[in-house]
Amino acid sequence: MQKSAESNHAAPFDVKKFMSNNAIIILIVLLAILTGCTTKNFFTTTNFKNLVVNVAPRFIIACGVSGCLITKGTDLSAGRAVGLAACLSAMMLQSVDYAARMFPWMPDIPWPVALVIVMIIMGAFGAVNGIVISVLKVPPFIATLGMQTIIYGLCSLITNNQPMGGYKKSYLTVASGSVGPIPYLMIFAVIVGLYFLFLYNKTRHGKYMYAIGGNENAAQVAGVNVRASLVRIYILAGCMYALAGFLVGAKAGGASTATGQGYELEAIAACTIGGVSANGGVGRVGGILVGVLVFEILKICLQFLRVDPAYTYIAQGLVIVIAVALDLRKYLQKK
Amino acid sequence: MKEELDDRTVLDEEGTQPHGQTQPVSALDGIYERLPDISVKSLDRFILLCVIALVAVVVIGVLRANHII
Repeated sequence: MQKSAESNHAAPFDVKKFMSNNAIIILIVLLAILTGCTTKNFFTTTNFKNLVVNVAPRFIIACGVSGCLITKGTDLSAGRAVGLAACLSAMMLQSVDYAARMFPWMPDIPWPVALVIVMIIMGAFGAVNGIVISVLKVPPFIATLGMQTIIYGLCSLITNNQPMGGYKKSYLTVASGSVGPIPYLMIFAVIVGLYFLFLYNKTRHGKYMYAIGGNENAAQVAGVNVRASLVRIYILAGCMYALAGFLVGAKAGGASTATGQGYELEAIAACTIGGVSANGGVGRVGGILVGVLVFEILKICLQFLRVDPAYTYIAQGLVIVIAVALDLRKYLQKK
Repeated sequence: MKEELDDRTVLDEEGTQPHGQTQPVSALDGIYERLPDISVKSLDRFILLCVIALVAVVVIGVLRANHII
């Protein structure tokens, strides 16, 4: 009886609250419907496949960045790390009979081995980020900004600023291939998504991460090894950039020092849109996916509507501002 | 209790932990607490303004793409 009385008193569906919490998503869905109604080929399988293929690497990067954001950090080196990973993959996976091969002496390496090597290298960069932030207490913004420039310099050095191509077929198939109608890239993204879902919700690491983001001092007092957790988060982020770079390289069919430029801001923006709070301690994998999708659908819609890319950048900027304002609104309401 | 609270305030102000260990300072750490007092109402107005601006940008972009303006 009491239960039924309680359920009667349950808050009714608040349309205003729902609209304000999901304003960006509603706007983007409306834009997609408008684009679909006014242009040809928008609601097609090919376009959906393009969307999935574009979203996959960005989602992987955003998953990597999300851990840093949840712990009140950030990772500005993400984009350049993706570029370096793409270049390293390119070096190892150029076709043996390609005339302009960067390292002619390099043996033929299977792509899974190359992927593991790239992940180890980028994981090491992530570890350096994590150690600088957690042990040397350098603010994440500055530490990762420095790492961004260092990685770019290293990338320029090892590639001699030369774009690379001539990949072997097996590597290109990673991006272009599919199992039935499902592209391999989507499979990679789904595996990463499920892994992060498990990691964030079912493991001690996930609980520690949210605890650090909520209140670092309290987490430390409660027995959380903050340093080790932060280093693990940045290593994992580095590995995700490696995977994303590997996939971006395969998708583009080439790599250069410009690969991945600006991806970090897109990833941070997608996380913010997806509900990862700039105040730390909050963020879900589903939200991150929604954030990446919103950003990508906005771009695709404006491309279909033949809008000048300059307007697209302005629209993207406004979407980020709205997302942060909505996050701040939630914080103020809780306060 | 009061003493404990005072200690914590000093700790927060100085950004240090006991034993002289420096507290990690993030650019985002307490970002919302550091903002001046804002009411939800004024924030709602700002969000509405941004949404109008977003719609305007898209509309202008589409109109210019179709050479209407």
